[in-house]
Amino acid sequence: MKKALKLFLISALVLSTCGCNKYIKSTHEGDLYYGAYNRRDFIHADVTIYKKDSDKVCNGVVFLNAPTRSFTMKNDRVDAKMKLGCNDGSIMDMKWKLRKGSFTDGYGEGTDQFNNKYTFKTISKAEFKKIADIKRVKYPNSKNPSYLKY
Amino acid sequence: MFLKKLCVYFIVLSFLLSSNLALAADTVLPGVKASIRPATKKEFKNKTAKKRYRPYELTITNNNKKPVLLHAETELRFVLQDDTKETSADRREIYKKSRKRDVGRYWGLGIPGCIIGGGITGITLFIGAPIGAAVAVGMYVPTARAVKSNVDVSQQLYATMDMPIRLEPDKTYKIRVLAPKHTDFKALEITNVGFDAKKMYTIKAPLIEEDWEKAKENL
Repeated sequence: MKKALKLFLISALVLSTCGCNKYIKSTHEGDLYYGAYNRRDFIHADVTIYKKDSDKVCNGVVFLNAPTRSFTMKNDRVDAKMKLGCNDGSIMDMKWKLRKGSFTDGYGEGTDQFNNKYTFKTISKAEFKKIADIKRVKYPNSKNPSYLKY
Repeated sequence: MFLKKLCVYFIVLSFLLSSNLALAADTVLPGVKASIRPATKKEFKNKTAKKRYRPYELTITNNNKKPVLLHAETELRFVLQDDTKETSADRREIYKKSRKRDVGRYWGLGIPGCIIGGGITGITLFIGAPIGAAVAVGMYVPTARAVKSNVDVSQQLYATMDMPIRLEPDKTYKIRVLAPKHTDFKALEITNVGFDAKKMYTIKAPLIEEDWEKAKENL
């Protein structure tokens, strides 16, 4: 009984403190992009994507429109915006449809300032591991600010 | 001697080149009309954001035949009364600070805390459940209020505070800008914009003075 309680408490603590990455990849023909977003609160998440076989990195933020705490509408998809700045100077503006419960899954499309088109969707961690050149996704923070200045 | 001269020429040339680039970056983009005015009380009601920021509405019209492209290095700079410049915080930072403190973020600690507290007191004093329930209700009310307020904030920011990545010809854009509350500026600069990523310009948006009285209402 004591062991079960200990196990439960430790798992609850681990679950309550860990961040949860949701992995994404581009589905548009051409260059392959992969990355992840990590929810920071009910309505916003940090994002980083990498271009396959390249040094190009983009990071920024995704935020939902009008989240509600309604359980009945929890599985609806809502509009979200993803704004990314890249280390080659390009900026991306994408519109997503995300499940508002916990940003669990979704799909999005958008362009950069040169009108190049991008489409993305969420993928499993296993699929991410197959395509990724990196081991760990690094998100922007106060020490390493986003490439997007505004 | 020759080597010394060469070094001097190199230093002077590099200085001139770097200053020219800086000038190029400060060149005002032709054909773009921009202005900034304080937002009225009706346009921006978010009290949490107003504790730190003062809301403005930036209007930009691109009268060129080509689209104007923004860049990852594009920044918003407030030109203060003494001509010094203050760079705006990024969208992520403003967005975070505009929101009411969300008690919901403590659910991860609150729920295990309730279970542990409730379990221990329940075993020893048989009153764990009522205490746990009291803690849960006590957390729920502020959480619900914060979330409701944050829904309004998120809808407002989602709808208005979205800087476009390119300004199409003959199109007018209205963008909400939040300036730090005690920043007394006379103009806003949008730096590092251009028709391609090669030559950079600046868009200058003067503050419309006649709306200054409205701005004071928002303080």
